[in-house]
Amino acid sequence: MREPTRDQALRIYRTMHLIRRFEERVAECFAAAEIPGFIHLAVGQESVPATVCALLERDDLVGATHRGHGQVLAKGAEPRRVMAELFGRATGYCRGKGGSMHLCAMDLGVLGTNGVVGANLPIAVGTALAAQVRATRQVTVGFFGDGAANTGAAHEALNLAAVWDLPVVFVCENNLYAEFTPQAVHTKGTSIAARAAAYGMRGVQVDGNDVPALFDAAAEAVDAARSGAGPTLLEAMTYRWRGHHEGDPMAYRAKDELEAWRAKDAIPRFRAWLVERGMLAADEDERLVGAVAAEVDDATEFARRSPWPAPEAALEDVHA
Amino acid sequence: MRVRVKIPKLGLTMTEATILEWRKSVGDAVTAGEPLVVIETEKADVEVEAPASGTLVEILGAVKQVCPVGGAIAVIELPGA
Ligand SMILES: Cc1ncc(C[n+]2csc(CCOP(=O)(O)OP(=O)(O)O)c2C)c(N)n1
Ligand SMILES: [Mg+2]
Repeated sequence: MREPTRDQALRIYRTMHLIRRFEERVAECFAAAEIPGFIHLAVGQESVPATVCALLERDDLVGATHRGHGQVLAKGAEPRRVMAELFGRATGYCRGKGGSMHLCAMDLGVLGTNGVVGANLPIAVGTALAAQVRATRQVTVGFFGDGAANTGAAHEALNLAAVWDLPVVFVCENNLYAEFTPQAVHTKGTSIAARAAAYGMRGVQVDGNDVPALFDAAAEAVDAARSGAGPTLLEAMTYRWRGHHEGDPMAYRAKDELEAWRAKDAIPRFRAWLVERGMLAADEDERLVGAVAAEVDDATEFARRSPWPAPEAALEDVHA
Repeated sequence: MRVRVKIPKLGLTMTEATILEWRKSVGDAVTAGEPLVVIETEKADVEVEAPASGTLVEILGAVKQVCPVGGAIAVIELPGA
């Protein structure tokens, strides 16, 4: 079993806190009508991008989803510029024109969040092919959901990646719902990872809220991709605590289901793991949580006081 | 200290909501996260939760009243205030 080093472990732990705090703040700002558009939050799912991205190098690539703020932050994006992008301000990663679902940061290998479910996977296959052709040793991670698993784009992407042994890891954040539809209604069978056998690639289903278990599986997948052993389909079982989108009253699921998953929260579970190994003292924990809170406050204030994009700039960065 | 309860924005195009039913009365103790009021938006009826724990000291939005997003509809007084 591969265990995270102390540095990796603390990075994962900090990133989980950052995503949680950031997303909770976004919820408040959206409710207060400070953020335009449609917002999908990943509270409850933080462990998956935090753990997977801790295994990546800066020039590795990530194809993110519509629920992608955490995936982008975990790849190293600055909270200030992510928040500003969500606020539609000129200081955001895409100068305020991308927003929550079209947020890319090419210098960090963030290929973009994507409002078209499943559409980021063929893009991930494309960058993986480029890396293979150029022999750069870069790995691409394509995040997707249980709903996206049933799109044609996902099938095409998985098949081609396997056929060409591409350096890509497909990470399914299975939160058991696609919009308002539970997995049992949209998919027969309970394992998306099991499909990997049919594609001819490795498939692993893992408890996504169990950071060490996820780290072990993801490390193997990233190593395989980097060493030329081809793609892996990694399915991380997790749960979103908030609605599908902000404002979703969640009438379709029972409160005790949510409570059961809250009890499986990855953050305190991983904190216990760190404490047990002597990697995190109580005062360090307090400092870390405080620093993350201050970082999110700072990001919010930065976004609020940032300018709107100039009307004259409307046609800049437009490709058609 | 007092906290104002505001109409939350709940969707892409939502600009206002209609108060349907208060789950609490003036003088009641409320707990953060507890359903406080049901509002009707263009898409659905939604329960708005108390943003803080304390006493509901004022209701500003009457049943059937149409209120803008961000508009204050109630006031909660925090303990020790
Ligand atoms: C191609 C496409 N079809 C449908 C939609 C509408 N839609 C948005 S999110 C979503 C559900 C996605 O479910 P999942 O992949 O499990 O991701 P989650 O929202 O659970 O993170 C759907 C159907 C879309 N955006 N794009
Ligand atoms: Mg899902």
